Amino acid sequence: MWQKQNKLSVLANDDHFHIYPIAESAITIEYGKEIAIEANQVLLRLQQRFHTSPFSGFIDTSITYNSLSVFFDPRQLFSEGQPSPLAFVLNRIKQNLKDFSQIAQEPFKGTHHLVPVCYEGPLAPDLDAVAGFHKTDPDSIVHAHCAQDWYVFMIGFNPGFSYMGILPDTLAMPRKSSPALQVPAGSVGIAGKQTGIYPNSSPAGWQIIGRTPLLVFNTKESEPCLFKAGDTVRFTRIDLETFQYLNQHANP
Amino acid sequence: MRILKSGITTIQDQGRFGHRNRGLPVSGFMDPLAARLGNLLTGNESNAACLEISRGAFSASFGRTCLLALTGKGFDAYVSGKPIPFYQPFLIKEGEFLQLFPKETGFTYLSVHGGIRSTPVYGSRSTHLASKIGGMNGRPLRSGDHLPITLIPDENGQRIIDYLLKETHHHQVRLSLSVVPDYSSKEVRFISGPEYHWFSGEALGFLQSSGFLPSALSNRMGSRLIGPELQRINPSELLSQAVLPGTMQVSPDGQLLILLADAQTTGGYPRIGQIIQADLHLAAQQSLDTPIHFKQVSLDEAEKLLLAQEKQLLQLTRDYYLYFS
Repeated sequence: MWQKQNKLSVLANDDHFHIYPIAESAITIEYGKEIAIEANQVLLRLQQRFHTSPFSGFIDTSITYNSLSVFFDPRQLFSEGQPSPLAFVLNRIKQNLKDFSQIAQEPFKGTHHLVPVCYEGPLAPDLDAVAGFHKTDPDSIVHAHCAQDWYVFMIGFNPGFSYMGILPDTLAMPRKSSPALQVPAGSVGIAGKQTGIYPNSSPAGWQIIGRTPLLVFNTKESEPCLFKAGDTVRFTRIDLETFQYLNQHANP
Repeated sequence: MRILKSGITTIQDQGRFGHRNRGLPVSGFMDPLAARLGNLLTGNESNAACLEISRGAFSASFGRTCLLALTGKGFDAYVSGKPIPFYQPFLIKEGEFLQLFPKETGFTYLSVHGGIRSTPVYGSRSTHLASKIGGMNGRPLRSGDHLPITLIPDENGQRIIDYLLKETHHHQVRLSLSVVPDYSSKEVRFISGPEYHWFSGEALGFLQSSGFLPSALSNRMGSRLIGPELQRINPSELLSQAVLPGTMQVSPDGQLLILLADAQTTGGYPRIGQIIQADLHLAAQQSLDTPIHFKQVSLDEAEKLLLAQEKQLLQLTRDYYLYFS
């Protein structure tokens, strides 16, 4: 335990953060170059700090695998007499990082979700190809996909689209060379070491191995996303009949 | 306000902020400058919802006298057959029709005093068609739609209305040309993006020396430009990173893509540049037949240009209200 904490506090040293503006209204804090749960958790804790004590002009943050971007309103900062909103926010970020590296790091607590997936027939158009790629049978792929918890790194690309991982080499597979024109909402895919769920029907470059009956993005709810970064997901296999019984996409 | 005819017209405000971690784009006005001027002319706050008219003929009727303004580009406008100039406030009377006919590519903003009072979704009235939220049930307007607008003008609005009601004044208030956006300018300024140095010296040269022609593959999300292939010297795969309106990405086949109001929240293509905020309206209002010329500026300059634009708008707002007081 002590070792782990010590490692985290070293990780959170601000020397490891690479900070750069991406626009007049946004600054990115990059942390590491790889897909790593530990690094993403450091960024999630940092993100909380910006939201719980926002600076003047703060609008939003955006988390990815290895970066946190901070968005702000330069016009508001101009009106408050800041000649350079970027310089002002950069200072606030540096101060935040300095304080951040000095406090004890608690692991980020996400929500755990059990997500039913049907891996059968037309709902799993690419399952055979994934099995073929790994020289195994579809059943082993499904078993491996349901065998452990996946960590949600980020929501992006489309409203509610979740990027989860990290898939072991026995499950990872490159995305398709030519994307499918349309996959139905709820399609569960694999791309590289990532797995994820398409919230709405859309073109898809990921290998589709199943479909969930759950709505992962629902604008009728006050919180439209089923998942958020830092959550964990365990997939559980259901048959076609159960899928049809549970299907929330049938009457959207 | 009743819609009689509509091509692609949506309700927009300044955008939906605070939902990036849900993957929800900001959306909002494609041409934020034109919309802001329209809101100014009709006595509104900058964030009041307007109609963004982008394709096809449009017409609407009004059940009572309303203070309106048209800004942006792309359309010719008429009230009861009489042409209506852009960038000036005007009154439409009960029973009169407003008609717009497309002239060229572009976005035109119809501002109404008090704004369009549709129900906000996640804090904004902006329509995001792809996720079917905001505006009129998340869809473009269609014939028969009835849009809620305010019944009681506020003090600023009433002053402008009273002034315009004097017949002799009707066509006299107009923004001076110096503050009206100059869409004939084909120069769009940008700052270098985080992956700028992933590109060859030749590609970086092309970026400023060649013109880039907007293709027909353009929508509120972004635009694919036609130009020389921009080759990379760094073949790394980028982990998805934050993108925003104005981000200039390069697709794997070396083509330049610019992201606009409905930009996705994250993207995996290298970001060669970022269009400066003060020029976003020019990028959004590009014409299909004229190449865009990109010019690099420093981040410092980009901030100064935005500050100058903001100062001008604040001064204009003061002058405008002073005029009617």
